[in-house]
Amino acid sequence: MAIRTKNRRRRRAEQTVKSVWPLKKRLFAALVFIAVLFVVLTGRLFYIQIIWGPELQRMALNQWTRSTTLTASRGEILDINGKVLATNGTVYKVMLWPKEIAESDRERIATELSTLLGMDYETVYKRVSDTSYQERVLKRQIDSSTRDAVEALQLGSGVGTVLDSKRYYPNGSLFSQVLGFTNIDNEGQSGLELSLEEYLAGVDGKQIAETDSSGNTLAYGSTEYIDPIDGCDVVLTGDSVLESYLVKALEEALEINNAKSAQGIMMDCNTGAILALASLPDYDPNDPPRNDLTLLAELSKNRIVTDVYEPGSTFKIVTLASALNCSATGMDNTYYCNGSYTVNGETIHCWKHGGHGSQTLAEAVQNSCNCAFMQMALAMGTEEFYDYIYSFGFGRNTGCGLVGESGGIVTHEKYITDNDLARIGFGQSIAVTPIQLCSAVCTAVNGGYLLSPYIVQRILADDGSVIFEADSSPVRRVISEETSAAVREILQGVVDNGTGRNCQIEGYSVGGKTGTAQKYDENGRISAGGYICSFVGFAPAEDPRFVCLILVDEPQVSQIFGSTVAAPFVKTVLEDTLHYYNIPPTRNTETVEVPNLIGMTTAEAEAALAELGLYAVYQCDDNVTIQMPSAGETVPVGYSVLLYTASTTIDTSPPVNAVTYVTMPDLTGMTPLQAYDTLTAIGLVFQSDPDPFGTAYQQSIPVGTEVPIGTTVTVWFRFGQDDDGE
Amino acid sequence: MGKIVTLDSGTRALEKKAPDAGKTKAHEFDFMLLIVLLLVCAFGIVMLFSASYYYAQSEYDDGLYFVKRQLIFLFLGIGVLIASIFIPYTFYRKVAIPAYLALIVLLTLTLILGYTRLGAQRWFRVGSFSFQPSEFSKVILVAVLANYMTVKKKEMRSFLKGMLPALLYVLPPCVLILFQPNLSTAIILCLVTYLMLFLGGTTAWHRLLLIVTGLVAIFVLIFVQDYRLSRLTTFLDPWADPSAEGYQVVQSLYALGNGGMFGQGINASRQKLLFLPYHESDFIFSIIGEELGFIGCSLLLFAYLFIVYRGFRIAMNCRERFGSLFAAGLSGALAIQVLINVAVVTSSIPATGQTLPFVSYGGTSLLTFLWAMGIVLNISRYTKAEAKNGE
Repeated sequence: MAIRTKNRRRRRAEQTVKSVWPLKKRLFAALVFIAVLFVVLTGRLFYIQIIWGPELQRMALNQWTRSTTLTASRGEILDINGKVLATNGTVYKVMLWPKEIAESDRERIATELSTLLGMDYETVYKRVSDTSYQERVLKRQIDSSTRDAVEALQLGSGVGTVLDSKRYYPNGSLFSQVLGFTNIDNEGQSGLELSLEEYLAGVDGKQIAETDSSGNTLAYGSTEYIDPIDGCDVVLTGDSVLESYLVKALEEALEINNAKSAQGIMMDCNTGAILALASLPDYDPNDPPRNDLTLLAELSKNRIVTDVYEPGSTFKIVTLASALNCSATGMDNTYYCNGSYTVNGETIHCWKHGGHGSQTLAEAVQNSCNCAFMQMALAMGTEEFYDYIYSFGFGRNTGCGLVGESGGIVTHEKYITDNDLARIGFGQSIAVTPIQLCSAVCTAVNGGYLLSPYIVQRILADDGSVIFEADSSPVRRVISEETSAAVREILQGVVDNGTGRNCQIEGYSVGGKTGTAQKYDENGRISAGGYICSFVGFAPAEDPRFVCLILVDEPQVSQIFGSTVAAPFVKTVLEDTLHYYNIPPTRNTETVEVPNLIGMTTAEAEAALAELGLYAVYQCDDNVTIQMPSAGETVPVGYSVLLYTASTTIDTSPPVNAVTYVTMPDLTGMTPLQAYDTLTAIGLVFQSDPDPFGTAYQQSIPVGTEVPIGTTVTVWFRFGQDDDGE
Repeated sequence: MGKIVTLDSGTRALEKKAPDAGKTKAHEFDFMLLIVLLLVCAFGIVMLFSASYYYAQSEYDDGLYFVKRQLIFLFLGIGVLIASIFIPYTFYRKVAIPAYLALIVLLTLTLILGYTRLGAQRWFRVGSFSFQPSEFSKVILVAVLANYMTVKKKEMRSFLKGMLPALLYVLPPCVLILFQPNLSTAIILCLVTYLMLFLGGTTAWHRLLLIVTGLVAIFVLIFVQDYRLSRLTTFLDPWADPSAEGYQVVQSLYALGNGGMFGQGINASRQKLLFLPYHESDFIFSIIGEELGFIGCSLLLFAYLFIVYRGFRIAMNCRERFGSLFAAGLSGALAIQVLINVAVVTSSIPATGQTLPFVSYGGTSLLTFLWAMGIVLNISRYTKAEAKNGE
């Protein structure tokens, strides 16, 4: 029984063991389970630290360091003589550290700063209170006096000023369209500042400092500097002295002709270097009119390369050179002009409706006879002439490196009729940019080489090494040396004896060609009264160095011929340039002194001038009120004197017996033309003193006096006295 | 037959009067456990110094702020450790129920009078020190459950008579702690309870029922409070919003990743420079990982596992049920807390705030676990030497 009981117990114990684990077994199982979990977590650690580690480390690196930009200094732009055209000035910026500004102080600081900096209070307050920024710029590019004022406010450690830089153009508007301007972050926005951005900008450096999570630099942390690479300096082919000659001439041309705009370019015809290039009106890149984007776009446009126009007679140089080179004409050819020429039944008029009669080639060019050039163009034929037109560089960019260059419009030869070809011969039915024309003239007179115009002479790295040097080698030969010599000779004749007489320079031989072209509106129709008068001249004529082209857009004077509108200014520029380069005079020009013609009738004046070998240019027969040049000036024989006459408005004035009085206006500061217009508009007679250039500083009848209509008012002018006051 | 009866009654007698301190041999005392434990504590102070210096210097203008306070608790804790080594563990059987009642009162008082910090009312303030009564609940609950399961050894296979009453012990403190709110401590209590129920001999089916109930409860609790849900989703993709919810986890991973195999060297952590929040307490393991690398982390984990192993070994060698369950429960609580802390730090589970025992800054936690280890060491004095061979 005992055994049975024992066995039963044993069996029960065995059953118990089967169904319920004893404590020890459970303890062991729990321990194993815990150990497994430890192993799993160790595996997870291994994955994070060893496998994922490098990637996590890289991500973490961002937050451990603060990198401060070390701004690279923007490269300077210099003229060919090293004169600085664009540089960096020291200014300041107002910084905020919002976390260091007490909440109670925010209103006061925002009020003070918004008043001082002329900013919106709300904006300032928002920036002052935004503590999500550690450091923030409030306003950039403030001058030192504003900076002193900010510092004087003593706004605590949360507000301060630090150095900033601003692009500065020491010569103001000189070269403005070429240089362009930058935005407030010193990034180029137009002109060379834009196109050479990658050279000028440089590479910003960095200061990487180790910080804690609040951005405090660690006392024992390491700081790494990556030095900034300063921008490259750009040396232009332009010369600021020559540029100022050109700008002065253009200003006068604009003022005297009361024109809409004026452009000029001067190139070295042996290298293609652009010596001067300007378009008026211009702007001051130090303070471009950023608020008026349309105006800014208009003013910053470099019209010499962007605008296409119908060149008119100046293009005849290309026709001449081409025709001579392919023997379609010769020095002994004669052309007869009866005032028009008929092509395929269409009569195309010469500018002189009476005709030029029989002329030699040289005479035809001097007369700028359209009929002769139509014949030359037709003699060459479309294929031949077009080869030359393309060879001279028309119809495609010159690649001069100036922003926004246009290729001009050359209609494809497939669509060209003989009538079109004849018109192209005298510069119509083709559109070119001024730089293309100037470059083509260089080719025609320099011995026949087409050069690529360029404005950037070299680019210097910040260590002074040259990383770019302009290549002045010719692109191709277009015409032969002999043809070029013949063109030079003929064009010299134009200045000596023809329409270009007003470009004669005492002591030097000059060649050139006038041009007057009608403007087209956006629909391609001829716009009423819109002309572009131009003149392209080169000197010295025997061995040309300088080619200068000036265009005057919509001159508002009656004499809308290039001979009087543009040529005198090309003359000024070339003369100044020849003197600047100390080029010795090559010949004695016969000169005469201009007599005083004011008060004479135009017929009397013309007679007086003819006696001296001078010509008169005027619009209608009347008394002479202004003459240009004025009495006493020396001009070469053959010069055309521009005569302004009393306007016909006097005829429409009230009857003589009913005397009407007008109030005398203030003429101070006006140009002769403005003064003349002002006086004639109210029925007074303008009379100037012997020097009618510059601005008015004195008038014979005091301001405010009541004077009868028809009274003569004498006005005295002088140069450059505006600023001194009276 | 008589013999057998004698044997049975003998066993019962042994169980009843069992560990009489005077009679037991002292040489069974687990010195290895004590040494490793003290090493981990010393290591903890060094790492706390390294991790907290920069923050303490910038926040309290005293780089040793945390170290000083932790040292005070460490000395207090070693006092508690030594004391509990000499208090026979059977003492806890006697005081288990009164201590449990006192805990309930204390937790209730915490809810009423407690000091609120970081949106939770978990602390009592005494002078400049504050302590969390909920920490003590880990020891007290283990004592209560061990006692209960010793008394009701035969009923443990029953649901109504065995498991349910045990759960009723656990419920009040858990609910009170949840009200603080302190979900993580409540979860640890639940896990410890589950471990105890397993050891106590409950059936697998009953425990499965428990798991299902628990999961449902967790879902309910998560959807009751938004921040828990966002923590859950953050854990799945900490980079979804690394500047907000995921910030802590991302920063922790950065620290571990930066550590690599051998670490950046002691005191060379970058993440402790205010990038990683709670780098001196809940996330100190990340800083250890950054400074000492995978090697350092593994060694520390090994040290913890060794302590846990020794605790379970003591439990296995203990000659009576209460001692075994008590030692295993306390060691298990340590293991669970270490596992949860490391799992959070390695973004293996959703973020929840639990200290790393002996290393994290936190006085109550340090005191609690030193106390628990003191009890385990005391139990080691009643183990049989030959049990080693019996393994």
